[in-house]
Amino acid sequence: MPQIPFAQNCKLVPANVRVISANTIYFVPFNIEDSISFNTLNVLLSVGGTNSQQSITFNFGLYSLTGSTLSITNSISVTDSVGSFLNQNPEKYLSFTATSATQNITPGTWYFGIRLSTSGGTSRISLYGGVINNPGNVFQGSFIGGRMTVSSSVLPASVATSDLDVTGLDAMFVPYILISA
Amino acid sequence: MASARLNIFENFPADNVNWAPRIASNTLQLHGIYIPGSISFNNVAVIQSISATTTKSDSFYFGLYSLNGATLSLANSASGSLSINNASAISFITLVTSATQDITPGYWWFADRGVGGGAGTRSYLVNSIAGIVADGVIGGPFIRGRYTVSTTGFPASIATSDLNAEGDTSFSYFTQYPYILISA
Repeated sequence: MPQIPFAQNCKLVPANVRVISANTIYFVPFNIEDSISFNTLNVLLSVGGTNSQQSITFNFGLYSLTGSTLSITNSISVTDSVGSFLNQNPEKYLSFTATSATQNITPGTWYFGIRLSTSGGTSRISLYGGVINNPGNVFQGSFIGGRMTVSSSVLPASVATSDLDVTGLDAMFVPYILISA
Repeated sequence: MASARLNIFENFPADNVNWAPRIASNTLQLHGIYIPGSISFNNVAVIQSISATTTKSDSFYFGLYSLNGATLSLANSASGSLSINNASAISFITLVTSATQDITPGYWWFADRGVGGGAGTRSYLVNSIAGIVADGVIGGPFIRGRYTVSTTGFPASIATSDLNAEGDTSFSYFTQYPYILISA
């Protein structure tokens, strides 16, 4: 399998923006077409609300799916300070480095678990991405994403997809994710 | 994965889209894209919207680059123009390729550059995100961004160190790229 330099779940950044709730764990699918060294992850952030300065931490976990169980294989995080429009544009790329383990991601469908924590300030934290227009029923095929129904201060080591909420805009939103070697 | 033979390729789906003016004169921007199969580089097109009450003409310039290490190399190029006299028209601009090429599967970089002149109110079909200015450079190897050097053509080679990644505020920066359609 050849090594690829980068992988993204959308060909270019989509226009949709969705608020991310702190301490809610979201799981989103990510297809990898060929092997890639997992070194950097990027998302596009949008900050709204008041001008107060706020510290945010995003944790992304890389999960594999076996049967109906998601299991974590790696993680990557970033902490940043946002807010105060006097000094920053509302939109900002967050670039994550320092994975918890060296990994050459193999081709296939993986999932990212996403958790946001915040402290100070009251800014509204959103990510750019794509969204399916809120179907009222559950997709009957393979797991295509969802979110945990209880708040969590950490990414779980494993979670059963049957324990996830798989309907609604919150569950179906897929943030734009760009990983690179 | 086994590579198929493609008849058409577009850098993003032409459904959820936006419109934006051509980039500034003598500016060159590039975006990396994955082409999943082989495709003959025969027909290339962009989509333009123009509003003009007299005949107006505009040209579009496209470059195809490959990346080897820290150097982007020009593999091919295409250009075309369209004259139009219509109060409001959306049109394909068909570009003529400079050389015959069978594009192989893999990662390529699409380049477009601005030129001076032209007239009329015109814009091009671009990806859906609004023209935002994003702080915070895309981390990792070069994926999308702009050439730091003012240029009137496509350089034969570009060092990635001479590129500003998307999100670099030293360029007042937008995240929009033109829709490119390639067909065999």
